[in-house]
Amino acid sequence: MSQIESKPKMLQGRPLSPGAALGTAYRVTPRVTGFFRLSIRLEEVEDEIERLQNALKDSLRQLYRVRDRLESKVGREHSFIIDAHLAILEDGRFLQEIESRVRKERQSPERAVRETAERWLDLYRGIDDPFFRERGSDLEEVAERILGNLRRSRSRGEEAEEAPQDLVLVAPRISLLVLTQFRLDRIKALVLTQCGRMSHVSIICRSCRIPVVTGIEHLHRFIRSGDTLAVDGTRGSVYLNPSPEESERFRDREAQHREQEPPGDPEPCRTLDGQHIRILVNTEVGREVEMGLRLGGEGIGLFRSESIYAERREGPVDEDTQFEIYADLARRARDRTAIVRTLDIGDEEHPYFSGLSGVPVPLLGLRGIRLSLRYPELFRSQVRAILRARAEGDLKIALPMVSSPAEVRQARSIIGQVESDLDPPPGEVGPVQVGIMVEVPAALIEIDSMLAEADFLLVGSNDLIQFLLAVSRTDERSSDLYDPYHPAVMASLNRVAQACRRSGKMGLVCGEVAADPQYAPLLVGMGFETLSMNPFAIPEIKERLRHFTGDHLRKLVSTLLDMSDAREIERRARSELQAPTQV
Amino acid sequence: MIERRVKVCNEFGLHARAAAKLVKVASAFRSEVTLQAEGRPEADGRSVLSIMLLAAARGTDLTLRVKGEDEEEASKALVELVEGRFGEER
Repeated sequence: MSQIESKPKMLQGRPLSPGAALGTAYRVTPRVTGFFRLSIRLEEVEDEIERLQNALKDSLRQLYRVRDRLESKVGREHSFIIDAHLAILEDGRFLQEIESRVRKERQSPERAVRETAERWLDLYRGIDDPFFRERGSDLEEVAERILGNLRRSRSRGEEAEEAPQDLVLVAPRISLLVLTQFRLDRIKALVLTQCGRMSHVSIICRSCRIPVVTGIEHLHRFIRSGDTLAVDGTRGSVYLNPSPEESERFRDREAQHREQEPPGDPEPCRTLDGQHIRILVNTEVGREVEMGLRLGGEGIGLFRSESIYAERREGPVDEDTQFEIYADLARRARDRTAIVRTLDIGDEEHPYFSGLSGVPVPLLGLRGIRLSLRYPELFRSQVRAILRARAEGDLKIALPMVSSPAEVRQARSIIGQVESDLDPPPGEVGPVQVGIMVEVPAALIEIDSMLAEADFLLVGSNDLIQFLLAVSRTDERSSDLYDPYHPAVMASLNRVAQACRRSGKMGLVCGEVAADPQYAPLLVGMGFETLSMNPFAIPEIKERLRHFTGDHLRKLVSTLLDMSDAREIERRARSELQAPTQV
Repeated sequence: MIERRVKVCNEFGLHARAAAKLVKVASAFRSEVTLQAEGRPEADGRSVLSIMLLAAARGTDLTLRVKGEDEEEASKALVELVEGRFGEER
């Protein structure tokens, strides 16, 4: 019992963001409130005010830096969070209240910040509208940031904490706030205990190509700040103080991975026994099409048309504008197929459509094809724009969120009408192919009769998994339950693949699982022959799939389907799919 | 003092960025600016935190009160800002 726990060489967790990196461990300690004085003496007031001003200035500087970096790396959809923080940090009332508590009541700056924030938070907690009530959490984060900077200024000089240049952040969990306190270009990898696949942190790391491993318990027992860590975000493993040879290997992989754009892979993807797996591109902007094709995509598997509404939110995007967008897509795809998913306003609230339906557009309920059928004119104009653009290339239509064969028939009959009324007539292109998105469990249960109404199907695995497991990937508290290895998820995906085989129709998977180097082989083993993914994932997935025979993958999947524990399924899949040793 | 009724018509209502713009405009004048939405405490036109407390979603009617030497110009600029959807596209 008194024996010292021997340190393992390797820790196994779950991969959240692929890639390899070698770096120095840096334990991010959870923010402790710490002790601070409650009151100050009269003669200390000016010094303490200066300390407060410095902390505020530091906070502003950090936020501007973070915003610029996020905007250039990830885009404006994430940088808006920072705008809200900046506005609060520049709020005169907020700042005056803090200062007056220090000057008049002689509170320490720490206490003044806390009490001021707390008073405002109380007011925010009383708001009925959840959107505005949530703004309270922005205030909380701002207060935390100021307190952090106050703490730093107090210990200034005591220990100049210089973070290493090749950081591997190690923490039980990490917030976006904490993550952005570090320079993203210095962060080599993250090693965590808990982190949602769809959290801001993992999304940002994936788009910045920072490997992340999560699911490692008791980190503090094994890892100290300063340890050298080799992190394999593709397989979910972390090596402690690796040997020089291992380090060298990681450095090579890291160099490959970090390249802004990985080298393209124009060769078709074939399994060891020659089966052709088509790799397509998920995209929402025309610009990404060329990149996806250059990186080795064989067509566009999913064009998310709701992105056309990201810029214009006032009213419906008119048919001619839509036509231009789809024609541009078709031209960029050249002679390759591009599948356009009709409007699927869902996850996010969209003001125009909220106005239309009276309530924010929810994850469940009136979204996707349901919204289109409720407002057929909207649907018709989108369909007409797509059909007209078919003169420029091979466009197909996919219907999101379908849940019954009747719904598919109804949508197809509208598409048929629009097609026959087209003026001028489409010429020799022939009738458009119409596919369905399989996301709603009802569609899954009725898969054969659904597929009978469609020309092909796309599995939107992200939503399907959420609906199957009744978890929301945007809810941090339950997002860990979002699990592609859940036996029900495996069985469902397999069922869809079987239905496609029986009917001879194309089935493609376009959710995150298709871009997951661990999971993609399993999809092939189930019988999917087409996978669609973000451009950057293409070369890695192609290369990975070439290492296996279809037969091996089919057998593995059939074993996994008999297992009942998600973690065991994942472990088994992982060990069976070890990267083959280099020959 | 000038009092004006104005309706919030941009998509997200008086969220952080819109509120920040309002503060910017209000601070460019010397007059005091307050805003009120039904059932909410009166907000200081120069404080983002106080404006967001109005919880003014799209469609909310606001009462704008401006008092001071340049109240005429200030109220005009503020009404224009709100009715012009804070320069947001939608």
